[in-house]
Amino acid sequence: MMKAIRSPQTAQRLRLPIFPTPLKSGAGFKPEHLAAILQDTRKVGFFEVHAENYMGDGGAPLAMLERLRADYPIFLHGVAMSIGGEAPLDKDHLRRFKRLAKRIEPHVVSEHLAWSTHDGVFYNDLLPVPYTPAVLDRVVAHINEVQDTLGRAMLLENPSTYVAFDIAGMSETDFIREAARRTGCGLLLDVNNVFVSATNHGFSAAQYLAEFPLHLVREIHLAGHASDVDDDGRPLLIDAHDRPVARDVWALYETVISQLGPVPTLIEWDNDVPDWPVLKAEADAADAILGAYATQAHPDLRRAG
Amino acid sequence: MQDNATPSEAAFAAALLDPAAALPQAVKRGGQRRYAVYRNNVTVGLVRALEANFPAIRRLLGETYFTGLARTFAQAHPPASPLLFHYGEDFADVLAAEDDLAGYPYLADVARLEHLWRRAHHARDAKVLEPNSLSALDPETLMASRLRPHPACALLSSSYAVHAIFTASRGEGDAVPDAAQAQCVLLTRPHFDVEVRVISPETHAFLQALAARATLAEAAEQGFAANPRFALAAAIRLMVEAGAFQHKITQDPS
Amino acid sequence: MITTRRAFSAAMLATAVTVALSTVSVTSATSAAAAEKEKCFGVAMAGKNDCAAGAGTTCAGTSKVDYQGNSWKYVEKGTCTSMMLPGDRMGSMTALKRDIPA
Repeated sequence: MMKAIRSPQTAQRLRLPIFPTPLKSGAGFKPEHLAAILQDTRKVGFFEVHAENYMGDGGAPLAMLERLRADYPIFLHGVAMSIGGEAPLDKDHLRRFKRLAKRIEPHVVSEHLAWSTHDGVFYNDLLPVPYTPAVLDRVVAHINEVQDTLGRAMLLENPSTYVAFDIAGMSETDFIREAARRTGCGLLLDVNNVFVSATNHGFSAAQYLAEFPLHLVREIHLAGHASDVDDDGRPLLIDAHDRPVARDVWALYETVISQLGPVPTLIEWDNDVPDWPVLKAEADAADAILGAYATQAHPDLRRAG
Repeated sequence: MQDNATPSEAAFAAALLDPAAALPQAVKRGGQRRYAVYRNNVTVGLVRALEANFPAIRRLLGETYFTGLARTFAQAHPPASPLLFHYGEDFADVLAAEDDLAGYPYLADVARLEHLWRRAHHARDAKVLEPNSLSALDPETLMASRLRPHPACALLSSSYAVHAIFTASRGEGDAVPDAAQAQCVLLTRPHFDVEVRVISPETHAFLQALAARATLAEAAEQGFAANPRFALAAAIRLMVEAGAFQHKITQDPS
Repeated sequence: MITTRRAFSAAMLATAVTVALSTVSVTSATSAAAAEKEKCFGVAMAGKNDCAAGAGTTCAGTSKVDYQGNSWKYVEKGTCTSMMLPGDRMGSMTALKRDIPA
């Protein structure tokens, strides 16, 4: 996974450590936790960051991330590539992503099945993609472009959605399976997103998971969601990442792990971020489930590790 | 919707920042409140970004007014880039043009200073000018020498006490007795911390000329033109201590 | 090559540099960097102080509901009401209001 460093400038530096693929839980990195993390003797398996927040040119943010990378595997999670968007991918953004990946040597790079930029405006949200053959073609082209630019496979994440389109399209699981088949990308299964979308659109989360190409899953996301109601008083869940993981989501997660064996699992907590021990406790809870199924290690992950 | 098979992204996007716009056609019926989740995510997300980027302005305006202003700003000036720590470059101009804020003419410069601060925080790392490399030069070479500004270096000249207000509003200074006192400011970031210094107008003139690739002689001339009592030695000491310039000294004009 | 008449000579500039640099206090680059790093990597990040990086992206929705209309009124005092400006330019903040028809 790591490429040899050739440029004389970087050759003088110590190469970042090569960690094995962590079949453990990790946490979304928040800079305010850094001191506590570096002092914590019980390490998590990895940290994940939003790539965009480290796309500045230098200074403290990148120095901090490099410090963290010295002790931990880093997963790079993009939120703004607009892979599902109509427009061609932003070449500057791709270049920045590549530059950051070269500097941080992440274990995993991932992006969303969503769009966030239209007509030059960045909407700072993960907007829904209609699942039609024409959209599949452009998603495939965009994933290929990302993978060609980075020189490695990426993971594609299933979204949480709030509206459905009035079209006769494909199912989300068929769409994702086809995108993966045609690009060779891996999948990032967000179990909370499955639960949120299933509730919002009234389908069965268990059925969705039964149809999902689980053998391609290389990472799992877990997060908390908020509850609201829609125009007709039906439940409307919001993927708010602002609280502990819901009980139902833990149950779905255990179902997945029981079928798949241990997979690197991220706890995302992005709003109302708690102190480090609270976030760490969520990661520990995921680890307890991963540990219970440790004997049935994912054959592909074992090979990669 | 042009294409029967694929709903248009433009229609979905158009209603995101316009609270009065109708629900996009392709969205399933009864989805008003569901679509509003996206609208809310986008608006609140951008307002939060402005809050994070302009903490002094938020404190100066108070939360309610700031949130209202930030919301209309986000709707009229959404970001073009996902690098949200740079979002709000034109926020200062909007503050300056806001009729309600005419009594607070310093706000725009405080916003400019906050924007420059974040630019400096995220700027490229570079080795700063070392004292020895200047003192090693003979007098004539020194006169013709040019410096390159450090990537984090920025200058701001204001008719208001922009540094004092900025510092007080970030919770680090005392109340500002006279907001109408003009201040020039130098921002640098030799390592990780952004440093903000008040400088004299003549030092500002000197550093601005140097940053625009004038020779030391030409820049010093600018300093003396601004004030015949320009303290050249003190200005040179300040620029070295602050890390305003990069390590390399050249005598070429380019 | 200097052709224009200047308010100072090359010798004066050289002297200024000597004077400036004899009193310059530059802490060794490595120790200063290390101290700043420690501060940035430690407590300061939580506040809005020296190391706050500004806004970040999100891949989450928000449960905080922002009413979607365009009108708001000034109801809270910001600290700008305490900043003195000469003449009658102070205190107009209390009259601030905005009502834009949505």
